[in-house]
Amino acid sequence: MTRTVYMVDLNAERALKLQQRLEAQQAVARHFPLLKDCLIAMKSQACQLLLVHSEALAELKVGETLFSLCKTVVYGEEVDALERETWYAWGAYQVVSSSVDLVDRTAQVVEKYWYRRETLPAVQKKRLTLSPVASLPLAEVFYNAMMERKNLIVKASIGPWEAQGRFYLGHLVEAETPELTGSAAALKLLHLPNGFVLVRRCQFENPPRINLPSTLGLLAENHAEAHRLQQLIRRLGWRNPRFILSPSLEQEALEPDQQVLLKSLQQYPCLQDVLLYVPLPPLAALNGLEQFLERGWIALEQPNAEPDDWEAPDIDYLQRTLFRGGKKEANLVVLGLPDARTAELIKTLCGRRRVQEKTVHSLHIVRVALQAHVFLNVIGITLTENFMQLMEKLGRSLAAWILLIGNTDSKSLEYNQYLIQQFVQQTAAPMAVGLTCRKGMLPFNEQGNLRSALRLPEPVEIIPVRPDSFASVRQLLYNLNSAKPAG
Amino acid sequence: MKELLIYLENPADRDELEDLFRASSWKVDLVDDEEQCLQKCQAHLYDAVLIWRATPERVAALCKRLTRRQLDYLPLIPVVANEVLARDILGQPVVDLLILPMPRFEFFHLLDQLVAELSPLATATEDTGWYGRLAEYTIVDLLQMMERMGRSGRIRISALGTEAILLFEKGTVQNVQLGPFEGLVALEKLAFLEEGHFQVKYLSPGQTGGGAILQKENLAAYLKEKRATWQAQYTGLPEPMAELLANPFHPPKGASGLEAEIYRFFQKPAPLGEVLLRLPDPMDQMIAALQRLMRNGQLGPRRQVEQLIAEEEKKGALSRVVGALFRRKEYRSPFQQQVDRELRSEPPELPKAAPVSLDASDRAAIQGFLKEAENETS
Repeated sequence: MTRTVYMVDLNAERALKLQQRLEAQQAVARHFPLLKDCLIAMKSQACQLLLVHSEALAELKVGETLFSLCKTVVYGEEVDALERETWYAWGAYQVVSSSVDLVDRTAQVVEKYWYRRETLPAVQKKRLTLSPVASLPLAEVFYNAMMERKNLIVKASIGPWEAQGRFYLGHLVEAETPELTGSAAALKLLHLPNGFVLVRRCQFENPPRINLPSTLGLLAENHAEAHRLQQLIRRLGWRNPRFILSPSLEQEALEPDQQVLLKSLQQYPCLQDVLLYVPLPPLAALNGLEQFLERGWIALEQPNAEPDDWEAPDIDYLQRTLFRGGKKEANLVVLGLPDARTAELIKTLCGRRRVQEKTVHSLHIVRVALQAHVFLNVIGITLTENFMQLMEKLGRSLAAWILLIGNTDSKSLEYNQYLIQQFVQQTAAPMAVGLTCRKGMLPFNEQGNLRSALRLPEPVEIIPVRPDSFASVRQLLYNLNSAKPAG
Repeated sequence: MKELLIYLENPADRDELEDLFRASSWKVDLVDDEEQCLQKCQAHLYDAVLIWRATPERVAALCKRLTRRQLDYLPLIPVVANEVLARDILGQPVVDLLILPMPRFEFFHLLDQLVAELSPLATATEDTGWYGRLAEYTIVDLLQMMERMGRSGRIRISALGTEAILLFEKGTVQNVQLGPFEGLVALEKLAFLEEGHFQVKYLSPGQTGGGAILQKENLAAYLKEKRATWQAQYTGLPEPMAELLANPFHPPKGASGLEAEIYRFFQKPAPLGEVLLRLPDPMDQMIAALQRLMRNGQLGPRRQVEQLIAEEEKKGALSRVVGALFRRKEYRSPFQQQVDRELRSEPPELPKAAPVSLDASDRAAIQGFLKEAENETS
């Protein structure tokens, strides 16, 4: 990939020196005396790094917009702590000042940026074992470590949530999540529904003490708990339902564990999230949720509740699911079969947010501002013969996709099944299937029949959805899941 | 929770650092010895290693040792108290450099940013799939795991300069291809590997297109048993990654065809394990042949053999110089050599004749010549 750097500096001599240093690093460096010229150039061609001299920033009243466009390094001879703090708060990538040689120091900073971006990831790929949890479940990692008596470190994450365990000759000797330690943490690790896992052989300085239950015991317990969770999911109707709290719930009357669960439910209203983040062992959390449901303290959110916009926990969820690695933009494709009311669903999906809308050929693109400088691009595509070409173009930039099925006859489903399969095989991006037709209109009696007609794999949820109901559409997004293990 | 290892040269800095990180969200380990630092890196999966008040020499030494132990994936962040040191340190494989004094907020902001940017977990995507080292999951492990999960797909192996493909159908090995080898032969060779990389790609059942299923009962158990036997047999040989070279002064005489072939294979330096992957012979026979060749000094670690060659060449060069000196003294042209030969040979024997006295006239003539000569000289 080409290394492109834009520089904004009022001093042409200094800029030339820096430009020469950057070109020696095989970077294409373009100098702009004025920030506004640079901003215009950025619209036509993006750059990887933007270097702005602190003097040039005087043009700017608020740097937030600039700093969100591209990774921005601010450099200057004398930069006081207050200015640094302001620029970092605006989102500056790095602030460089030097008492010795500013050009030299700035060039060094840029050189190290290339090292971090290009060299180290290649080394890490050679030295570590990494997998999506969907491809390598934690239970397999534990089982293999136990059977082969391995010394291993296992680290797993979902977004910013990270947990780890260490094995000594196949015995789990340490397990830790942000909230728990010991066997509770190990069970939580085993319950991880998705995310990523990192594995590496390790050498212990001294033989550690083994205080945890046997690995086989933990696996057995996890198996039983997973079964309980499946039962609950079957009862509730789908994998990741959203709960609402009952007004009758008296917080003060709750026991300590129940209070902990309630606090988590207030923060994370969806089932999978609450199981992950609640600082309780999985079984205690499951028991607690069942108790809450039985006593009517929580209930499944009904479309009648009718929220009409994204709330803080929703945005948090979307950021974890669709904006991985701190991305500022994510592409969600809504692939609609004819009569699926795709446009209506996209409109509902925008909530009450500020949106920009464009139609390019058969693409309907809506850019939703979820937060300042965080955008969800919803791309509506109708399933036609050329949809594969469009999807291939979207390729790796695809964060997730929704297949929307309306009043479709079985013949056209049969034809579309081939196209859908083609795409399912090509991407590991999470997906969900929404049924927008009214009851009785679908030529299939049960969702199970639809699954087999479309040859959809088990992890993909098929959810009835009302395109004009925000809660219903939101529910669809909460049930995004990978159609196939990545690989 | 992010884990950080801090390697400090001066133990007196320990209190300052403990204070600095006390209120932070970091889990910190402090060490003040290079060996201890390496041990910690081998025992944990740190998110970053901070080298506190780093000097160029110390950073260079640590980088070298981390690379040797395959720990160079760790993001190294030297912290210096003098900007002048930056240039020398930044030549090393470090991710950035923090120059003190620095405001506390900026220090933690940069640290968090660097770690977030470099965490393989944070930057992974679903499309990357499952990849890794055979050091963590050998072929036998992968075989067992695929079988347990009942998955279909393709595993690509790259090790010791060769590539192999394993095809699975619903957890069962369908086919294996390693260069010209296929099936069980290829699988046996791969089963011995502990160095190299793999990449798993899952496919839908029926998509692998691998043909007939590899027929072998309890394949994983069979390979495990074989592997244990070969490992025992292998004892004493260098690591498979170690480069070997044939000793040109000691070629195998009257050796088996396999030994000669292995000897020929190592005419150029190559990792030991490579021969096991490239030659078609059974593993046990190859390991036995390698043991014999090594024991007899016909094969050796590359460095040792190269040293031996250099010594011999040095010796050879000296003797050639000395020899040449002497040969120069003795040098005679072919004509002279002919003369020498003739000189060395006995003079031809003259035919024996009766003694004759000088005639009076002859005597007078001789005396006349002598007189003339005297006159000329005078």
